[in-house]
Amino acid sequence: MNRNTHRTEDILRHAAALAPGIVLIISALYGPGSINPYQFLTQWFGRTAVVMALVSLSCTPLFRITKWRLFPRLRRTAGLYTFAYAGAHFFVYAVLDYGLNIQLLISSAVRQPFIILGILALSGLTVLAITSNKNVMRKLGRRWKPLHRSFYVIAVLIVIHYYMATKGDKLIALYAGGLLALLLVARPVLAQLQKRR
Amino acid sequence: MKKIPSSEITPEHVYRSRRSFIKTLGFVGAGAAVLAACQGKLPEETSAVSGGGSTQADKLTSYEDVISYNNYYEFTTNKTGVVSLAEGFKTEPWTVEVGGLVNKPGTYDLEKIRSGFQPEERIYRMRCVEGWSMVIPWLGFPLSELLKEVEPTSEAKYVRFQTVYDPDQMPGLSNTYFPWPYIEGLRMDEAMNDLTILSTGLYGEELLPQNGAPIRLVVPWKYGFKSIKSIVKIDLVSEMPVSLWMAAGPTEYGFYANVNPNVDHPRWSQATERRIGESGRIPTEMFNGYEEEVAGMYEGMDLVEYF
Repeated sequence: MNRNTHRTEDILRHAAALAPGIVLIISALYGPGSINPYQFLTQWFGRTAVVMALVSLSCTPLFRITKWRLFPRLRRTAGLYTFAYAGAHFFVYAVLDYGLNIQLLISSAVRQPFIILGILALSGLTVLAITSNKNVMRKLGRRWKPLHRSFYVIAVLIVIHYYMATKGDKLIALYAGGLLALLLVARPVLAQLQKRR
Repeated sequence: MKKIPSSEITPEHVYRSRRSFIKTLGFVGAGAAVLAACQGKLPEETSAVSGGGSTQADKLTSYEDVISYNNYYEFTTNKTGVVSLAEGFKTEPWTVEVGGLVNKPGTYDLEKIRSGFQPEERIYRMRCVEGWSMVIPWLGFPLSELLKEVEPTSEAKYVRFQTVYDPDQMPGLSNTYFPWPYIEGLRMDEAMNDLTILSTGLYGEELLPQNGAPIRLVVPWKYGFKSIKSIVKIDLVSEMPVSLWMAAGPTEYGFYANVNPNVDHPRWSQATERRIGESGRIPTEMFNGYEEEVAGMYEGMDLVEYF
């Protein structure tokens, strides 16, 4: 692949990852989301983060099957945007909605354990995002990979958080959990299959 | 869609609420300060709700928001999607069967309801269990007037309400997660309380389908889901009815569902709320601010146990 197509692909990946966020912000300002914008943005940034996490985790199995070099790059992009959307989700909740009222935030976190799961997941994502640029990767060397494997655990936290936060019918959250389980199991299975060949 | 009779309130409110939202988003932080300074009205709006306790200065939620942001799962769980799915929903002919433990059971069609009961305007706060709220000028009449007419017997301890079940018109009913039809209930004294109304309109207009046309309950000191929509059946019963939400999530939704800032829902802190059309959070009041009128009914009751 030459430099230009590489560049184009970079732009496309980021554009695709940014698109849902732009649509959500426009809706929150001018569209149906504007009636209850903080609830709307909190929920939808959160859901988008779940989708990004699942996209990122699908990349390795898909790469093993297709050998398409796009996937390893997409894995990184989707991983970073998992952090971005989870961060936006938390920002709307804590800063815009609760106006950084620490007392209120702490009391709601203590009484509602799913919020603690969310904070743990976001903290983990923050560490991974900080350690995902090339310089830090080089510095960490062999320790980078085990550190970034924690994304599996973070994804589990995210999906449990999503499940617990869902009102009424939790079917979509259950599907997300099922897909996550499938993606996690697919890794060792595909690796084994390919070793045998 | 823009039938706004109370024109002196609404358009300006819509305008200002959008302003204040943009302001808090911080996109135009400095600009908003200038705007507030020259308008002189913006601070007033926030001070009315940030004062805590007093809700004397509650502003009506815009007609537009009231008719386009609805929890009505029989159509869809998407609150802004109800309005289009409910369009054209047939509310005539319509009958409400009133029966059970009563001396004079009756079938009430809309004609009988319109001629028998005089609707009056009641401006109530509506607090959703999800943590948002509206202020709505309902048209309705006390439920007690209807109940007196059918003469409940001495065994009647509760009132059970049922929403229409019409899968042809209500696509959300295909979601089998919920044990349809929608059921709600009140204790006899709650049903007879003067605040409890059957509503047939809002903002001076007839109810639209998304708001529970043609007739719905409004119980302003309880979370919104108690105010059951599009009622077809009212029964006086001796046992506490099991509501749809109690059946779907017994640990999350109780029979009483009184607005109470001190008792949290597992997913939502109930200490504060977001007023639709306004920015920032305001403290939630005990019994949604109707403590004086209703607290007596719950004296000596553990409101944590009976949530």
